[in-house]
Amino acid sequence: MSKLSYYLLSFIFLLFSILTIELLYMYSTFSLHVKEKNNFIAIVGLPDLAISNGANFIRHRSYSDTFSIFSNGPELLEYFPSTFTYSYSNNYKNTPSRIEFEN
Amino acid sequence: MFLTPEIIAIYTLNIIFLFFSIFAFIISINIVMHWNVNRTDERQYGLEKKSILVATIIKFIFILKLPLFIFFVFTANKISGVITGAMCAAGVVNSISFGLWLFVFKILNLFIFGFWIALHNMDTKDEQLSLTKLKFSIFIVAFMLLVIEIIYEISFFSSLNIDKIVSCCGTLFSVASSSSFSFIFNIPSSIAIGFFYLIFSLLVVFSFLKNEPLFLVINIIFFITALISLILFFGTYIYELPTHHCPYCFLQQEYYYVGYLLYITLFIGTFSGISGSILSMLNRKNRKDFYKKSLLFNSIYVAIVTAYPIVYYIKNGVWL
Amino acid sequence: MKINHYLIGFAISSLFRRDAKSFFIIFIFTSLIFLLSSILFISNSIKEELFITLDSLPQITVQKLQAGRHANIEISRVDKLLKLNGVQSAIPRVWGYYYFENAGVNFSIVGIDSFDKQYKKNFEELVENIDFDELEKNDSMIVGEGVKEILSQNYYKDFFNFVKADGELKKIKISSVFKSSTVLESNDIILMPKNLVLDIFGMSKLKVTDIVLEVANPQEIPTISQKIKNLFPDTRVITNSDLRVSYQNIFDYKSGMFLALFVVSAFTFFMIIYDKASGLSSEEKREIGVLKALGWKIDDIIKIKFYEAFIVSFISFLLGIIVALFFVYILQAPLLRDIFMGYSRLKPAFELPFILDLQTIFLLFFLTIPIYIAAIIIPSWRVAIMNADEVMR
Repeated sequence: MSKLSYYLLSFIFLLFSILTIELLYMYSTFSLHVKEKNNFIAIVGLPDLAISNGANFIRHRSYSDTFSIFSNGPELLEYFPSTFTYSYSNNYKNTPSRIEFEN
Repeated sequence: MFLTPEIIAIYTLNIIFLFFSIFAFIISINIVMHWNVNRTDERQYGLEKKSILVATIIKFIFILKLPLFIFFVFTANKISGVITGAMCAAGVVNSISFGLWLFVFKILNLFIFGFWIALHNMDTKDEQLSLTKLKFSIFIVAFMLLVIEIIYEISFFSSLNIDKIVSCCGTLFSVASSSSFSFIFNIPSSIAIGFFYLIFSLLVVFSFLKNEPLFLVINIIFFITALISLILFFGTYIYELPTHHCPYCFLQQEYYYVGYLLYITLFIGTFSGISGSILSMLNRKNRKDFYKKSLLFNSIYVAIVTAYPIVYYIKNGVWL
Repeated sequence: MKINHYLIGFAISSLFRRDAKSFFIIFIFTSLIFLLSSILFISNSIKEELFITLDSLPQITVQKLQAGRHANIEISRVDKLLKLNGVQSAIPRVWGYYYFENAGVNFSIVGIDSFDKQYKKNFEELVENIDFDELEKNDSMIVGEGVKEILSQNYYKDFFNFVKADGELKKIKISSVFKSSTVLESNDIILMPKNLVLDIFGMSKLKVTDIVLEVANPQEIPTISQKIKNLFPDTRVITNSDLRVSYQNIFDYKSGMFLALFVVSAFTFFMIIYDKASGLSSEEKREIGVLKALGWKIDDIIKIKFYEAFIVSFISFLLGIIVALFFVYILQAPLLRDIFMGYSRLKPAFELPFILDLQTIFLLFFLTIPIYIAAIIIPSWRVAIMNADEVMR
């Protein structure tokens, strides 16, 4: 075996060991809290994660949107104030709103 | 129609395969028509060079097709979670009318491409290149089969319907079903098992007799009886359920992916037997070590499937 | 097939001889694999988050539809549902969204019967320093971390004034916060007794949002949901498996979209490699010529090219995955994870859970290495068939 092949093999071996160390580190540090999460869901009983909740039909998609999985079709990525009709009032009880009007 | 990452990967690879195999197909037609070892002109020389390209392409396709087959089953298993009623790949595959044919073609193509490579290796050792014409004629047939498989596969994934309720493997593989598998269940399982072990013992005997035609036939029969007896009898012991006959479910994690081990050993065993005997018939000088290889892997297969009922009997004291 | 060690050695040294070119290709290939695997890792992690709680979700949810929209369902239907064979329990639920204008966010308000003993044990695990007596006596609620944060930004430290349907204000005390281990689920949730929710939403006491059924034998779920459909034609019955399908779809869809874009870049990469592999320098041509003059066969030269390609792609594959794992799970995937996050003012600060399965590795393998190898087949064959005298001239 030539010197270069030896270098290459040891490099690949190095990569493998980095990978194993990384995986071991992750297996040891990350925990899913499966039990707590399941307890919580058992009480609340709502699906989906709280990662997108700007519009209510996005938050519990499977429950709130009646007809389709992707509300208005996959081509349209809805953005909260502009594509979503919400009956808000900007001067109700003098509470300021994030949604700004352009008159 | 789905757009899952797995399906996109399979599509992409299929398109690459198609592209290269069309290339190889055109070259093979040329070779079959104009090949003549005795000529020394420009064309013959060019064809000889091109034949190497075809061989490289076929090796590339075959080497990828082996893991891709496993990946296909993986994907079908994953999709089964989405399709209503399906418990495993069986439900997915059978939700489309030609699903079973897709599987048959996949296995057939694996055999043919594998055999082609074995033939090619033998041919390159031969100075006369006497098998070249035969080799490329076989590829022309194999190309047709490959195209059919790819068309089947693409239309298979694009016609999968999430809304349809499919039958689960429990009903597909049962006596009462009217599916394409039901004829198997007319065979009494005791006969099937007896036949399976009979064929295996014949296989052992023939491998010592070293008679190629007999060994070829017995390997093909062994492949078929192995699958039938697996569905009828051995499967129920893997699941420890007398009514569950599905040949796909043991590919899942619950059964420690034992199915992959079973199918791979069975494939290697019968494949080396079949291709080895054909090659030996074509060329007397071929090495005879395929008998040993075939016998070894087939025996491993038999040992594993036999272990399941025996372990079950030892643990529970009864037969299913 | 036998592997010739000398050929491998030759392939390695020829890679080193063209170090700039090899490193360039490894670099590009690594970044492609890195990008692709990061996306798949993130999507897998979030999907895993969803799936681990799937079994705790209600087996059947019955909603009422009126004029094509979700409407509140009569509480009297609970008894009729309970009479169906196989139904173990039917619980009416009240939940909904409360839009908090000051911050422009939606809270999810969930009503529970009362802070009862049955929940006591669960709550102790989920909620920090909880006082049950306090909860029962006063009007109070448990909120998620995100809600708590938004409220305190708006100077609601201990209580919150809900604007009721008739415009009145309803003051409710914040009694405690959900633990951060459930932040992905609980971030925007407000939990309070049912009668308070009815009061805030201005709902009739005879109606609820939906009814949740528990079925003794899970295999009967399809039959029972069919029966409910027949009993109340105006209902929408959502089973646990519908939820599973919707989970699976949304993430397959998102990573599929990304992948469709990736295929384009993969083919661009294919072109680059094809080009790189076919454009040979005169020095490389000389090398091939010398080899052929020394008696190397076409097959041997193709083999060397394959070994080179395999070494390059394998190293890039390993490197790409190592970097992606580091980026996704240790750096928590900045920028990229926004693709999956959606738009929200209530973004939870959560950690992507670590999950790695064989299938993803397989998938990555099939999407990258074959493309690279395929790209070099024809160029390397063209190199290999060159005549010795032609190139040496």
